[in-house]
Amino acid sequence: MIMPGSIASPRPGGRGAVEAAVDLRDVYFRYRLRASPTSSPNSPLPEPGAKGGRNAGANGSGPGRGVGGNLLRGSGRNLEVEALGGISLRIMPGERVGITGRNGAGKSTLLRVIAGIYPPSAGAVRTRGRVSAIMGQGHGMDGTLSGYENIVLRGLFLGFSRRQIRRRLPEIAEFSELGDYLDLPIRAYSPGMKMRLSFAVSTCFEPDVLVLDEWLSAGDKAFMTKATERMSAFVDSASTFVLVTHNMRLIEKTCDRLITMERGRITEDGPLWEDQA
Amino acid sequence: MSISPSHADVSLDDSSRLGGFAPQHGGTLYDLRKSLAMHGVWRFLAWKEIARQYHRTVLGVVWLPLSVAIHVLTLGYIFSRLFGGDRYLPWFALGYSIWRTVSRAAGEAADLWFSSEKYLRHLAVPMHTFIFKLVLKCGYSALLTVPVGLAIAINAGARPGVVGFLAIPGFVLLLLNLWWMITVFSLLCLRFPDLGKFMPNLITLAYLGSPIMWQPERLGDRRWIADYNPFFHLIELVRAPLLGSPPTETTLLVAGGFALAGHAAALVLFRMARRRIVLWL
Repeated sequence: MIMPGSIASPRPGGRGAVEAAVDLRDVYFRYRLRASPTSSPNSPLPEPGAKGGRNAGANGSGPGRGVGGNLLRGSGRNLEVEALGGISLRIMPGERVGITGRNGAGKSTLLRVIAGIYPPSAGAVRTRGRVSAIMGQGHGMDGTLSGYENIVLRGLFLGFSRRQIRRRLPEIAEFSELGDYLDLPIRAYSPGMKMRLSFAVSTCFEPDVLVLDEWLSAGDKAFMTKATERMSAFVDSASTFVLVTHNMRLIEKTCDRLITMERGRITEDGPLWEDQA
Repeated sequence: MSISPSHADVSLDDSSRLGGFAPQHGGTLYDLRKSLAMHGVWRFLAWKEIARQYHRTVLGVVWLPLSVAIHVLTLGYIFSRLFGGDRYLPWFALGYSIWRTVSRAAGEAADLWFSSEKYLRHLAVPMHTFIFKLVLKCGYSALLTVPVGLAIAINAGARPGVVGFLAIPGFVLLLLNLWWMITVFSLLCLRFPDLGKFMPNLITLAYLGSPIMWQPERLGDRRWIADYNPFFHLIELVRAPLLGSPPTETTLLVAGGFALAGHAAALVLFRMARRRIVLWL
């Protein structure tokens, strides 16, 4: 097991020639929220100062709550959620990383920070090339637009021209197997159909880094096989992917590196086979 | 591990070459530049969203000019008696058709970030993409409504002549003002949701309180109420030329100064809020 942060290099230039596809350095993600006024003294929220600051429970060994990030500073009704507490992580091109951890451990937040959706509260994030994310639930698409329109829109968001998008349409349509459904507004789709479209769109626009959050939970068996095949093909194209899931079988099948998170921190990080031993 | 500045530059160049966006990489100007490059997105969304409002109707987008015509003709028929004069209907028709653009900007700005949440939570998008989208929507909306106002005005005796073309630069200046208003109001409404709830009232107040369905001369010694009203001048930018006289110097000064001060305020506010927009949703 390699602990994060142990790869401290002295100064610029000390690194090898290969640049990391994803490079996170001491990344924090915090936000303040107002606790619901109905929370009683018996509520599971911590008393002010009860957690004793940001380092409490850093390794998830704290008593009581096993899920969620760290809650800090209960000043008044305001609670500060520390979803990520100092993440340092380098992912090289072609690496296939699986991330697991309990609910609320910060996995999805980490993916969103990598994808550039959430700006970190502190720390540096560097990514090389185009990052494509499949975050589930809505998939960043508009329910009133048709499947085709959503493909065009996503392509435009990723910086492709209309012509480049048109060239990819047949491939996306073919891979998603949605046929004439692509002419219908996607609010008519089942969750699995939306996921097919989202996966086809995200992979056909040639991402350098693909970020997936619980991506196959809604797909049927046939699609799962097909998608797993496509994921494996990523190895050859030197693309990187980062996958969050509770499905260890899936990680074993598609990844070569395993990261475990707990309470907004990385607790384990290493090659998959070592962990299996 | 430490990352040299040159390393940062490399990844910045890479992401711009590939059309990606990384909010970590720059400030407001980076966001503006990236949003301009996203013109495909905001052009696509602006029109789709206007069309969607009339989704499943028989007449579709025709409803937009039609509703303006109905409003102007019915109320104009009544109010031309109340307020008198043959000059009333052209004034009201043009004023109201231009006002629709302003009220759209204000009304949709209150909701701008919430309605963009479906993209903001899934994609790394520069924020001004959605601001530009709304400005363009206002532009489209004006192109659909102002010609109706103009047709009614001409039919009722207005003769703009060559001066009428001054309405085009006037319209551009109006849009420049709407742009900063959208930035400021959308961010304020996101941070202070109470303001968003009050917005419809504010829009009605501004509509009735500005010289749109009444003329400033009627105020007598309270004429200052109109002169100090920025909305009056914003509307005059387009209305005055279409009624045949260039906008007054005061109007130009107010609208120009308003644009400068407004964009400065928008810049400051955006700088403060940019990284928190996703968190406030």
